[in-house]
Amino acid sequence: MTITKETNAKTLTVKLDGRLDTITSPDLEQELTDLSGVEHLVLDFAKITYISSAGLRVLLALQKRMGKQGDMVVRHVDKMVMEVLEMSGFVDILTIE
Amino acid sequence: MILTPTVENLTLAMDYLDTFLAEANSSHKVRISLETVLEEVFMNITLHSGATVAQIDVVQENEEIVLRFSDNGTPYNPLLRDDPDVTLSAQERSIGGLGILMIKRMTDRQTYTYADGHNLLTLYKRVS
Repeated sequence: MTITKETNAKTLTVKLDGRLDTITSPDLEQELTDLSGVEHLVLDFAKITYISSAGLRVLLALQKRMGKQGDMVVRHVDKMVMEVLEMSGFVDILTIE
Repeated sequence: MILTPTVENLTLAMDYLDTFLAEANSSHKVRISLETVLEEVFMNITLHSGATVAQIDVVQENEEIVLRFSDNGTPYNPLLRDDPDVTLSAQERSIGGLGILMIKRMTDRQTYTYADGHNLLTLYKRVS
């Protein structure tokens, strides 16, 4: 998975490309360890084709953190990834655009 | 295929499944669903069962793709686990049980038996 970060004032946009699974989720977690000063976190899922519960775990942790210091948005979610977010109830706890 | 359950070997297991699904001309939806359940089951075996050996077999039987897992770990029927409450808020949510929920929702039927010191979990996915 490729992770690209862009900061604009207090908005951090993270573009992801690949699979968010057991192997790659720790990379995303590590890339986003330091979110100090970030009030808006945007996760661009346009090129994410697959998510497992390991990926959901990272999304939940990020949502919990950002809920305390600002907000988080997940954008451009693929159809199959959306099915996973729906069956897990994540559509109700994430902001998806 | 028979392999040691480790995080690294997930890639080998995934390659085995993908090779089969490519030859079977499976749809994108079937492929993503079976990849997901393979990852969830294999990681459960790897992280929680204490198994030293896992066997994965995939075959097509009529209109179903059948994914069989066998491991020599602690006896555990994942199908009996209660589904997590997916209506809780983010702050109240934990990730426990989501993998098994995904296994149940992304396949059409599932069976579990324990025999000869092995957990045997079989998952069936209709191809259309």
